[in-house]
Amino acid sequence: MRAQLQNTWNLPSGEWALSLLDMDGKFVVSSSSGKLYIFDVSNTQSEPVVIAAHDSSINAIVKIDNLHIASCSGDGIKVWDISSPQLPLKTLTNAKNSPFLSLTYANHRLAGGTELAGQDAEVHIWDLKKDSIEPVRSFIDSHHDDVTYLEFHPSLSQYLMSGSTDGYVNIYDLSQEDEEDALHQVINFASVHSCQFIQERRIAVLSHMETLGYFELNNQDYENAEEPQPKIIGDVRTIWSDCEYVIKASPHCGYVAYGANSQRKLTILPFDCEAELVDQTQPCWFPGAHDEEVVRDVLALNTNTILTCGEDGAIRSWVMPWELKYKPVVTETVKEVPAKKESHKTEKSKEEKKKKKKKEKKHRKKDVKFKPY
Amino acid sequence: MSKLSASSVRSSIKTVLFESSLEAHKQKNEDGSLAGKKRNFIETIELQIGLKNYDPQRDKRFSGTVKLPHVPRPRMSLCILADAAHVDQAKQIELEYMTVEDLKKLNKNKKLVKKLAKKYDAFLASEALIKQIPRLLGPGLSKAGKFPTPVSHSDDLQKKTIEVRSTIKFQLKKVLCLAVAVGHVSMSEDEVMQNVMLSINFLVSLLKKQWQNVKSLHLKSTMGKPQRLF
Repeated sequence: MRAQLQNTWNLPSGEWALSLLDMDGKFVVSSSSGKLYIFDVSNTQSEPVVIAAHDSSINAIVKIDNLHIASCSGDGIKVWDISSPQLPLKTLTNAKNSPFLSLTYANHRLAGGTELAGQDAEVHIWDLKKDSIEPVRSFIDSHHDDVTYLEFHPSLSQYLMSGSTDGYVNIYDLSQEDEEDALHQVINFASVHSCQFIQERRIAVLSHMETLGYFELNNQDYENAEEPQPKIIGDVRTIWSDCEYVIKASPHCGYVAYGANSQRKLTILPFDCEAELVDQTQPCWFPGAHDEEVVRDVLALNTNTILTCGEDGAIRSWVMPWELKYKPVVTETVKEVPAKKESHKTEKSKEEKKKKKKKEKKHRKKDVKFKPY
Repeated sequence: MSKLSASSVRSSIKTVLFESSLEAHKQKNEDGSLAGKKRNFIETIELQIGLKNYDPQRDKRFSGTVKLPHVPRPRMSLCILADAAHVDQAKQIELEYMTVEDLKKLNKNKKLVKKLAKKYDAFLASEALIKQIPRLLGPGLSKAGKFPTPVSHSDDLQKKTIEVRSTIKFQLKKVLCLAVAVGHVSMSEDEVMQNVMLSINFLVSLLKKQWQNVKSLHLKSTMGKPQRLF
């Protein structure tokens, strides 16, 4: 079934429209020129508000609330109030001024992931309630290459997930203070396009090789591997018809979107994140899509209105022939409390660790004393 | 779809193999100079890809891995982080291994983990241990890009090591060219051919405009002259 084209907005010629955010009656689109444009959803004639946000292509944007967004590029992360966007509210960088590639936000915490700079591909978390522009947490030594995707766990607030072109999805336990102890789980899959929590303990990973896999979030009983086996779907280009590249999966709005630019095609399939099933019997096509250019983002404004944007610089709104099935996002944030037995264990192991550390220190001292030369 | 003619690729492979082969050392060019030179190691054969209509600033950078039909890097060093059953299997096939006890001895010491990561080209680990590894070693193996590939007890360990040794990785970075090792000069012409064709087709399928993004393709042995394929 076909979606019907409603409206088209265009960026100045030569600019690519990269990502979209729904801002309640308005939408924000990021451009390859480093600008942010704010358009009215209902009015295609009005001039957009333009924010000269960055010097180079914007790598990611994230919504903080209906008035605030953050954007990142080669010159770091900037936080904006879109009602007075002359100057950023905050400019956040790391010590090396690395380009930032990925962003996520939840409960006052903004996380950003960097490109590989020297030996380090870094993840930093800032607390936006604080005035300080210093990150509250940093993970410098956990990836080998560009950090392309970040997501906080929707309900277990101590977990942050990062994906990278090094092929790993890392899950950090933020309740552990030291970076050395915080790495909770590593999923060794493939160069990560996106990694998302689709249920409390389930993760969907899409790779740049256009493969899809479902994984279990491990519990904290590290010595017993009782999690189910990963479900690897494989190369979706061989499964979904007319698929050359995947644009995104939206577990909570219940769809996956993919394109085939050589055939000027864009398709949305219903995605049931509980059953982990993509329904190929009910495709929705977007006639003409973005011509022969790559579609960069797809956004559901409501259950049957879709915005799309692409490398042709156009943003289009469409009416779907069927309704998307939204799944409620788990919003209640809790902290994972390990079972009693486990907590006992961890305490014990902590004690052991302390003992070990002490021992180690003693040894070191001894080494110094007895160094014969 | 492929824009490559198999016969021209084959003749380039022949040239690469011939120029590095022993016979070439004895033969002379028309001007009397030697047509080849003896090397004291097995040269690697590299595929070099030049891209066009690609903007590294705006286009997404990515990496990809693909398993080739023939092992391109037979001398890649491997180690398995093994449970008891895998220790026995590793011994049988002379694969180096480390047990959980060995890993515990490293005490999450950054330097020791780094040293371990440097010692091998890649790691395998018993599936049951994967969950513990970040706890035992910290982020060190991830930082080195060497987090282990899981192996289950139902997998054939020998096959798995071949699989790891056959897997190549290409990375599209800020520059418009990329290179990847697809074989070595002691492989047969057919083996090189199969590896080359698979690598090219896989990479091209991941480029956003497929062949329209390919500017050039070259094949080159470590010390040899580049041969143009496309």
